[in-house]
Amino acid sequence: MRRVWAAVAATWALFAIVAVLAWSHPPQPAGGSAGSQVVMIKGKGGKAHAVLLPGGVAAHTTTHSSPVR
Amino acid sequence: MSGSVPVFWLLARASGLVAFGLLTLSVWLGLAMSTRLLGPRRQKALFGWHQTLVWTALAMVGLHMLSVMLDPVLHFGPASVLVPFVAAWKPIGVAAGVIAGWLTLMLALSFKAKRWLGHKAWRMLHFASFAAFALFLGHALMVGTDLKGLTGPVVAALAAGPVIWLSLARILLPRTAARPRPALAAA
Repeated sequence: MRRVWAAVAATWALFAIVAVLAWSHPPQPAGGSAGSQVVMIKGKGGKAHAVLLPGGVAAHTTTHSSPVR
Repeated sequence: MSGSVPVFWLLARASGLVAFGLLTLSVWLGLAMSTRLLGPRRQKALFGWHQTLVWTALAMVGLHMLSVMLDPVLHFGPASVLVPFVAAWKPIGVAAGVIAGWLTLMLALSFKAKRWLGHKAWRMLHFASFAAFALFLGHALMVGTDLKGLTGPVVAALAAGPVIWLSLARILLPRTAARPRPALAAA
């Protein structure tokens, strides 16, 4: 019975610490952004305009690979 | 592993912390038994808990090693977690943990071999628990992600403080309660 209590307590402690660690350091979503975001780009003549990037596309994507044309 | 949640990394850290906590408790309990600060009557039950804590801690050490090996970032193979100074990442800190793990396994097995070893040899062997505790602490402070900054010294003081205090009590206090009284022994 003593071994069961020790195993149960250790397992609960493990899960509690995993939960605290996961909660305190939330993972960064792949690509730097989970949802859509607006970025400002400069067009011809230096005129800036807003472009909506779809979710999962990194804001630092190069012009060559960017889905935004 | 899928997604961006580092499951094995979280598991490795958590199991390492739980193992360290259990081993610290086991060392405290062992020293408290040795000094008989918890009373002479409950020695058998306390000795049972002392052993259980060590084996539970070793199970957590096993989980810690497995999680480290399965983590896709660390690239730790079986040799890195079983053989000291083989790991490419922080070899001294990792080796401290590897040696401490082997020492603890040896100490846990020595409970089973106590009758064969004899009490005196078993007690001499048990002094290795101080080295194992110091190495576990060193491992936690050198490579433990969660013991950086002020947290490390605070945890070290909380864990090692009672060990030092109980060791001093063990050396300085007379152990009269451990021996039967002459009148009873003669009877």
